[in-house]
Amino acid sequence: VVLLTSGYQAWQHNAVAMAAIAGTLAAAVGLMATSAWQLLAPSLVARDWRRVVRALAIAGAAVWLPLGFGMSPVAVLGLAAVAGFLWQEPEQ
Amino acid sequence: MNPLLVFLLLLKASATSFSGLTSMPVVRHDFVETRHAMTDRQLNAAVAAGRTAPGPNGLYLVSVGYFVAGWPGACAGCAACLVPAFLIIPLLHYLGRRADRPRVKSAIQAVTLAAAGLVIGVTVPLARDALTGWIPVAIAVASFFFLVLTRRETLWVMAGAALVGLVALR
Repeated sequence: VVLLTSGYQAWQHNAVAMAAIAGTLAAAVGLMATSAWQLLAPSLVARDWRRVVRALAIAGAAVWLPLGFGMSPVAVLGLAAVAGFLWQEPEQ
Repeated sequence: MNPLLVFLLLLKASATSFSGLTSMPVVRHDFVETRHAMTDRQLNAAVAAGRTAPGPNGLYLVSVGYFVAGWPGACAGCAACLVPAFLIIPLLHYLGRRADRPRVKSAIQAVTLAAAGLVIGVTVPLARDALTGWIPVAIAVASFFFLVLTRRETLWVMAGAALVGLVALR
Protein backbone atom coordinates (compact mmCIF):
# COMPACT_ATOMS: atom_id res chain seq x y z
CA VAL A 1 0.00 0.00 0.00
CA VAL A 2 2.84 2.37 0.89
CA LEU A 3 4.60 1.57 -2.40
CA LEU A 4 1.43 2.34 -4.36
CA THR A 5 0.88 5.56 -2.40
CA SER A 6 4.45 6.73 -2.84
CA GLY A 7 4.18 5.77 -6.53
CA TYR A 8 1.12 8.01 -6.81
CA GLN A 9 3.04 10.89 -5.22
CA ALA A 10 6.11 10.33 -7.39
CA TRP A 11 4.25 9.99 -10.71
CA GLN A 12 1.49 12.53 -10.27
CA HIS A 13 3.26 14.89 -12.70
CA ASN A 14 3.84 12.19 -15.32
CA ALA A 15 1.12 12.37 -18.00
CA VAL A 16 1.16 8.63 -18.83
CA ALA A 17 1.04 7.55 -15.18
CA MET A 18 -1.66 10.13 -14.47
CA ALA A 19 -3.86 8.62 -17.19
CA ALA A 20 -3.68 5.23 -15.45
CA ILE A 21 -4.15 6.85 -12.03
CA ALA A 22 -7.20 8.79 -13.28
CA GLY A 23 -8.71 5.45 -14.34
CA THR A 24 -8.12 3.93 -10.89
CA LEU A 25 -9.50 7.03 -9.13
CA ALA A 26 -12.70 6.72 -11.19
CA ALA A 27 -12.88 3.02 -10.31
CA ALA A 28 -12.43 3.92 -6.62
CA VAL A 29 -15.61 6.01 -6.84
CA GLY A 30 -17.37 2.92 -8.19
CA LEU A 31 -15.96 0.93 -5.25
CA MET A 32 -17.36 3.41 -2.73
CA ALA A 33 -20.77 3.27 -4.38
CA THR A 34 -20.58 -0.54 -4.27
CA SER A 35 -19.70 -0.41 -0.59
CA ALA A 36 -22.79 1.73 0.14
CA TRP A 37 -25.01 -0.46 -2.04
CA GLN A 38 -23.91 -3.67 -0.31
CA LEU A 39 -24.95 -2.23 3.04
CA LEU A 40 -28.27 -0.87 1.75
CA ALA A 41 -29.32 -3.63 -0.63
CA PRO A 42 -30.64 -6.18 1.91
CA SER A 43 -33.14 -3.58 3.20
CA LEU A 44 -33.98 -2.00 -0.17
CA VAL A 45 -34.82 -5.25 -1.92
CA ALA A 46 -37.04 -6.39 0.98
CA ARG A 47 -40.65 -7.14 0.06
CA ASP A 48 -41.93 -5.35 3.14
CA TRP A 49 -42.38 -1.67 2.22
CA ARG A 50 -41.96 -0.64 5.86
CA ARG A 51 -38.38 -1.97 5.84
CA VAL A 52 -37.67 -0.05 2.64
CA VAL A 53 -39.10 3.19 4.09
CA ARG A 54 -37.12 2.74 7.31
CA ALA A 55 -33.90 2.08 5.36
CA LEU A 56 -34.40 5.09 3.11
CA ALA A 57 -35.27 7.35 6.05
CA ILE A 58 -32.19 6.36 8.09
CA ALA A 59 -29.75 6.38 5.15
CA GLY A 60 -31.25 9.62 3.82
CA ALA A 61 -30.90 11.28 7.22
CA ALA A 62 -27.26 10.13 7.36
CA VAL A 63 -26.59 11.81 4.02
CA TRP A 64 -28.44 14.98 5.00
CA LEU A 65 -27.40 15.59 8.64
CA PRO A 66 -23.68 16.23 7.96
CA LEU A 67 -24.53 18.47 5.00
CA GLY A 68 -27.41 20.38 6.60
CA PHE A 69 -26.24 20.62 10.21
CA GLY A 70 -22.50 19.92 9.96
CA MET A 71 -22.97 16.91 12.22
CA SER A 72 -19.91 14.66 12.58
CA PRO A 73 -20.11 11.09 11.23
CA VAL A 74 -19.64 9.60 14.72
CA ALA A 75 -22.58 11.66 16.02
CA VAL A 76 -24.68 10.49 13.05
CA LEU A 77 -23.85 6.86 13.83
CA GLY A 78 -24.74 7.40 17.49
CA LEU A 79 -28.02 9.02 16.54
CA ALA A 80 -28.75 6.14 14.16
CA ALA A 81 -28.18 3.64 16.99
CA VAL A 82 -30.71 5.48 19.17
CA ALA A 83 -33.17 5.76 16.27
CA GLY A 84 -32.77 2.06 15.52
CA PHE A 85 -33.28 1.16 19.16
CA LEU A 86 -36.53 3.14 19.27
CA TRP A 87 -37.78 2.43 15.71
CA GLN A 88 -37.48 -1.31 15.39
CA GLU A 89 -37.15 -3.04 12.06
CA PRO A 90 -40.48 -4.73 11.14
CA GLU A 91 -40.46 -8.52 11.46
CA GLN A 92 -40.04 -10.42 8.19
CA MET B 1 1.16 15.81 11.35
CA ASN B 2 2.04 14.20 14.68
CA PRO B 3 2.00 10.38 14.15
CA LEU B 4 0.34 9.83 17.55
CA LEU B 5 -2.52 12.14 16.57
CA VAL B 6 -2.72 10.38 13.19
CA PHE B 7 -2.94 7.05 15.04
CA LEU B 8 -5.69 8.27 17.38
CA LEU B 9 -7.75 9.77 14.54
CA LEU B 10 -7.37 6.66 12.37
CA LEU B 11 -8.14 4.46 15.37
CA LYS B 12 -11.39 6.41 15.87
CA ALA B 13 -12.23 5.85 12.20
CA SER B 14 -11.30 2.19 12.33
CA ALA B 15 -13.17 1.55 15.58
CA THR B 16 -16.40 3.10 14.28
CA SER B 17 -16.22 1.03 11.09
CA PHE B 18 -17.56 -2.48 10.61
CA SER B 19 -17.04 -2.92 6.89
CA GLY B 20 -14.23 -1.75 4.62
CA LEU B 21 -15.06 1.77 3.57
CA THR B 22 -17.50 2.76 6.31
CA SER B 23 -14.58 4.42 8.11
CA MET B 24 -14.21 6.83 5.19
CA PRO B 25 -16.71 9.47 6.37
CA VAL B 26 -14.84 9.78 9.68
CA VAL B 27 -11.47 9.93 7.89
CA ARG B 28 -12.71 12.62 5.50
CA HIS B 29 -14.27 14.61 8.32
CA ASP B 30 -11.06 14.57 10.39
CA PHE B 31 -8.33 14.84 7.74
CA VAL B 32 -9.96 16.70 4.84
CA GLU B 33 -12.69 18.91 6.34
CA THR B 34 -11.42 19.70 9.84
CA ARG B 35 -7.60 19.59 9.64
CA HIS B 36 -7.05 20.08 5.88
CA ALA B 37 -4.19 17.58 6.12
CA MET B 38 -5.09 15.98 2.80
CA THR B 39 -7.26 16.61 -0.25
CA ASP B 40 -10.26 14.73 -1.59
CA ARG B 41 -8.06 13.52 -4.47
CA GLN B 42 -5.50 12.10 -2.04
CA LEU B 43 -8.25 10.37 -0.07
CA ASN B 44 -9.55 8.89 -3.30
CA ALA B 45 -6.01 7.79 -4.22
CA ALA B 46 -5.64 6.22 -0.76
CA VAL B 47 -8.82 4.18 -1.35
CA ALA B 48 -7.55 3.15 -4.79
CA ALA B 49 -4.16 2.12 -3.34
CA GLY B 50 -5.76 0.28 -0.43
CA ARG B 51 -8.10 -1.68 -2.67
CA THR B 52 -5.43 -2.51 -5.26
CA ALA B 53 -3.13 -4.17 -2.74
CA PRO B 54 -4.06 -7.56 -1.28
CA GLY B 55 -5.40 -7.51 2.29
CA PRO B 56 -8.36 -6.27 4.27
CA ASN B 57 -10.59 -3.46 2.95
CA GLY B 58 -9.60 -1.04 5.71
CA LEU B 59 -5.97 -1.13 4.56
CA TYR B 60 -6.42 2.23 2.86
CA LEU B 61 -5.88 3.78 6.34
CA VAL B 62 -2.17 2.94 5.89
CA SER B 63 -2.17 5.02 2.73
CA VAL B 64 -4.01 7.87 4.48
CA GLY B 65 -1.39 7.78 7.24
CA TYR B 66 1.39 7.90 4.64
CA PHE B 67 -0.18 10.88 2.90
CA VAL B 68 -0.46 12.93 6.08
CA ALA B 69 2.71 11.90 7.97
CA GLY B 70 5.00 9.80 5.76
CA TRP B 71 6.37 6.47 7.04
CA PRO B 72 5.48 7.11 10.73
CA GLY B 73 1.94 7.89 9.56
CA ALA B 74 1.82 4.65 7.56
CA CYS B 75 2.87 2.71 10.68
CA ALA B 76 0.21 4.57 12.67
CA GLY B 77 -2.37 3.61 10.02
CA CYS B 78 -1.29 -0.02 10.17
CA ALA B 79 -1.60 -0.03 13.97
CA ALA B 80 -5.02 1.66 13.76
CA CYS B 81 -6.18 -1.15 11.45
CA LEU B 82 -5.02 -3.85 13.86
CA VAL B 83 -6.03 -2.53 17.30
CA PRO B 84 -9.85 -2.77 16.87
CA ALA B 85 -9.45 -6.43 15.86
CA PHE B 86 -8.11 -7.13 19.35
CA LEU B 87 -10.71 -4.95 21.06
CA ILE B 88 -13.54 -6.80 19.36
CA ILE B 89 -12.88 -10.00 21.36
CA PRO B 90 -13.82 -8.60 24.82
CA LEU B 91 -16.58 -6.55 23.16
CA LEU B 92 -18.11 -9.67 21.60
CA HIS B 93 -17.80 -11.46 24.93
CA TYR B 94 -19.79 -8.64 26.53
CA LEU B 95 -22.29 -8.11 23.70
CA GLY B 96 -22.58 -11.76 22.60
CA ARG B 97 -25.91 -12.66 24.24
CA ARG B 98 -27.29 -9.12 24.21
CA ALA B 99 -26.80 -8.83 20.43
CA ASP B 100 -29.72 -11.21 19.85
CA ARG B 101 -32.23 -8.90 21.50
CA PRO B 102 -34.54 -7.38 18.86
CA ARG B 103 -33.90 -3.78 19.90
CA VAL B 104 -30.12 -4.23 19.89
CA LYS B 105 -30.28 -5.96 16.49
CA SER B 106 -32.44 -3.13 15.21
CA ALA B 107 -29.96 -0.52 16.52
CA ILE B 108 -27.02 -2.30 14.85
CA GLN B 109 -28.97 -2.51 11.60
CA ALA B 110 -29.79 1.22 11.77
CA VAL B 111 -26.09 2.01 12.27
CA THR B 112 -25.32 -0.07 9.17
CA LEU B 113 -27.88 1.91 7.15
CA ALA B 114 -26.55 5.22 8.46
CA ALA B 115 -23.00 4.15 7.54
CA ALA B 116 -24.22 3.49 3.99
CA GLY B 117 -25.75 6.98 3.90
CA LEU B 118 -22.51 8.51 5.19
CA VAL B 119 -20.50 6.67 2.52
CA ILE B 120 -22.87 8.05 -0.15
CA GLY B 121 -22.39 11.55 1.31
CA VAL B 122 -18.60 11.18 1.09
CA THR B 123 -18.66 9.64 -2.39
CA VAL B 124 -20.30 12.75 -3.89
CA PRO B 125 -17.37 15.20 -3.36
CA LEU B 126 -14.82 12.55 -4.32
CA ALA B 127 -16.80 11.77 -7.47
CA ARG B 128 -16.97 15.48 -8.30
CA ASP B 129 -13.16 15.56 -8.17
CA ALA B 130 -12.44 12.29 -10.00
CA LEU B 131 -15.18 12.08 -12.63
CA THR B 132 -14.19 14.89 -14.94
CA GLY B 133 -15.43 13.45 -18.24
CA TRP B 134 -17.58 10.74 -19.69
CA ILE B 135 -14.78 8.13 -19.70
CA PRO B 136 -14.14 8.34 -15.91
CA VAL B 137 -17.92 8.26 -15.37
CA ALA B 138 -18.13 5.14 -17.56
CA ILE B 139 -15.25 3.53 -15.61
CA ALA B 140 -16.98 4.29 -12.28
CA VAL B 141 -20.34 2.92 -13.48
CA ALA B 142 -18.71 -0.19 -14.99
CA SER B 143 -16.74 -0.79 -11.75
CA PHE B 144 -19.93 -0.50 -9.70
CA PHE B 145 -21.87 -3.02 -11.80
CA PHE B 146 -18.89 -5.36 -12.17
CA LEU B 147 -18.42 -5.56 -8.40
CA VAL B 148 -22.12 -5.79 -7.58
CA LEU B 149 -22.83 -8.47 -10.17
CA THR B 150 -19.66 -10.57 -10.02
CA ARG B 151 -18.18 -9.95 -6.54
CA ARG B 152 -14.69 -10.48 -8.00
CA GLU B 153 -11.50 -9.13 -6.42
CA THR B 154 -11.20 -5.35 -6.60
CA LEU B 155 -7.62 -5.79 -7.85
CA TRP B 156 -9.01 -6.76 -11.29
CA VAL B 157 -11.26 -3.71 -11.36
CA MET B 158 -8.32 -1.45 -10.52
CA ALA B 159 -6.06 -3.10 -13.10
CA GLY B 160 -8.76 -2.84 -15.78
CA ALA B 161 -9.48 0.80 -14.87
CA ALA B 162 -5.77 1.68 -15.07
CA LEU B 163 -5.56 0.02 -18.49
CA VAL B 164 -8.65 1.84 -19.78
CA GLY B 165 -7.24 5.08 -18.36
CA LEU B 166 -3.93 4.51 -20.14
CA VAL B 167 -5.64 3.90 -23.48
CA ALA B 168 -8.48 6.42 -23.31
CA LEU B 169 -7.35 9.26 -21.01
CA ARG B 170 -3.83 9.99 -22.36
